[in-house]
Amino acid sequence: MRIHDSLIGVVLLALAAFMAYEAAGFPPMPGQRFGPSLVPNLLAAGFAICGLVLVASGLRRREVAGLVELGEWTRRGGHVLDVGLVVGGLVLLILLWKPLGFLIGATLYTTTLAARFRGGRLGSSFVVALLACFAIDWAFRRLLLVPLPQGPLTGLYW
Amino acid sequence: MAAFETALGLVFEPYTLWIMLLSGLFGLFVGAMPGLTATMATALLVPVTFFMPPVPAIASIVTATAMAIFAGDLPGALVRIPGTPASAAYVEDAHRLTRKGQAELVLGCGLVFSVIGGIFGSLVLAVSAPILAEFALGFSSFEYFWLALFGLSCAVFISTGRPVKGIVSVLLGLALATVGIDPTAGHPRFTFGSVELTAGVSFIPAMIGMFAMAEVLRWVTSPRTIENLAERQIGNVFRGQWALFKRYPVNVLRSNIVGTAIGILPGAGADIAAWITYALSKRFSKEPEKFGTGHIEGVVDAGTANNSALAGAWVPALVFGIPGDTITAIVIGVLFIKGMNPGPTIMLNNPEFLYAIFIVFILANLLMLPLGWLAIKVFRQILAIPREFLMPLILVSCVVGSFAINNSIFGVGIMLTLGVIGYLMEENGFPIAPAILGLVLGEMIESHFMTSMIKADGNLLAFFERPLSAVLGIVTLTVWVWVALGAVRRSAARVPASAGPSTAG
Repeated sequence: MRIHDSLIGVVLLALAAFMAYEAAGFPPMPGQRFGPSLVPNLLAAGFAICGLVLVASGLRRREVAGLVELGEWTRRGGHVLDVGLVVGGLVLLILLWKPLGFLIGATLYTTTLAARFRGGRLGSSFVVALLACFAIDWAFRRLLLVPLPQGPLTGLYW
Repeated sequence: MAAFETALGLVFEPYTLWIMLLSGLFGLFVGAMPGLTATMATALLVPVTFFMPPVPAIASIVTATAMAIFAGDLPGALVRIPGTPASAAYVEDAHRLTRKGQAELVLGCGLVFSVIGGIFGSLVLAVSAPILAEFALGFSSFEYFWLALFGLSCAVFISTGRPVKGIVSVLLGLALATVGIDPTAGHPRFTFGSVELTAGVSFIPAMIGMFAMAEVLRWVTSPRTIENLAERQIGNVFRGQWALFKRYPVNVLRSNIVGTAIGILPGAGADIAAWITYALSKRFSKEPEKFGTGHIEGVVDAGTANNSALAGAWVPALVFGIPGDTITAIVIGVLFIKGMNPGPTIMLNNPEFLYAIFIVFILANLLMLPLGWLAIKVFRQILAIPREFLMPLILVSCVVGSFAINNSIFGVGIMLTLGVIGYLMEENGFPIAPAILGLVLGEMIESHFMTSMIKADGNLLAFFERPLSAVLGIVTLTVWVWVALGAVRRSAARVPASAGPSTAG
């Protein structure tokens, strides 16, 4: 997905304005003319300069037709769904992290993606996903003692 | 000497050796898999190294990356897809040689000259790091500020593409580093009331997102191709390598030196070393017309240089705490987590640790000979592993890794956000490496800058008062002026050209 340079420039200008606005609220250091706001302000100035350069060069060059040029892949309908599943699935995994637990959540996520990428072979995707996620769960929870949530399976397996 | 013996003991204990062996196999797998990079191998390893003592942790990263850079040559030679960007420079020659029936020669060349490059770089690291560290003991906050800024400047200007996009990338990294409690006054910045953000944007999830997650997104959005592997058994890969070495001794020496030097230069790593030495090889070759048609000379040069750069990058990382490439940027983060603050004092406080790293480097490169040979033998099987399973599982590993750093799902959120941002950045020509360097170096630059400002009472001329700081400052500013002039000149040259019909480019 290519974004017009000028649009990126405008986003950077907005970011610079936001940083400078926030930094204005930081208290100064006692006895000094500068404080925690100095570096954010310098960075905001940097963003503003780069933003202006990109706005100007974007208007001059017009490398991208329109403000946003969707990549070749967006015209192959399936790929849009793929990206949606990858990102949307991850958001769901984050939201349902505790209630579902890692093993169930990750197995569902992996099965969905693998089945989708492999053209719908659900059964074999599920088996491989379950085994792999079980191995990851075991390695991290048991060997490395990372407290991955178990959700409804708490206490049902080690 | 006692420190050296301790170091030997630390490396040659079964636990460390096992870790090195497993990490080596992991690195070979990731490197041989087209689309997965050495940096991604490191990113996926870090959450696991988190639970190891410092020496095995570093040993595992050193071994995995060395193997990954070599293994990147395999798919390059056999299916014309570089396994890692560091093999991209000579993929055309390597593949054409394979098609001419010289697969053994080109694969063996990748292996043997990777080992030579890796060992040369390691020796330079072992010799130069202690000397530089002693020199660096006299540095004050002024020198460190300039040095870190110089590192970031190199990262921006060496990266391919337009400098302004590199600058935006580095600024983004630095801006992310300002989130959290500020290092001088202790005031929370850009935290929006979130307790999690008070600790700052944790760099490990950030890096996993930008390198691993973004990579998966790129795979998802690209057309799936099926690699056709020539159906042929690979014979003895070591045959003919000595003859190659005797035929190109100058090339090997030049590529070792240039590769290590590029590695040492902050911000540039194995891939840039490979491109530059390939170009040099062609420039000085007696048969430049053969390059790109299946000629081994460029493979010798660039294959040597990418591995020597890998070790070279550790010099500034260990001595100054300034990473030489993205991999060492990650290593610096790991060292801080382990309480082994990189910098000149590492030689005073933990000499055994420094020696252990040198030993690990040599050992990892020697280990490459048998493991690399094995990887060549089983490459067909590695390539047969379906990417359709691998990619979702990499995503799940990213999730677990980002969670494990602070045992918090917040890290996964950071990983996802920066993964999407990283993907969009690459799509639009913004290099990712400067952002990671900015994020890693941000706090260090700010605290040295603020300390210097307080010492100088806000007088900017004080940044040039100490002789060394003046030299570093002038060098850094020269880089900026030089690049600015270049950009102005390019833009001036474009004005008359764009007077005609506008051209896409």
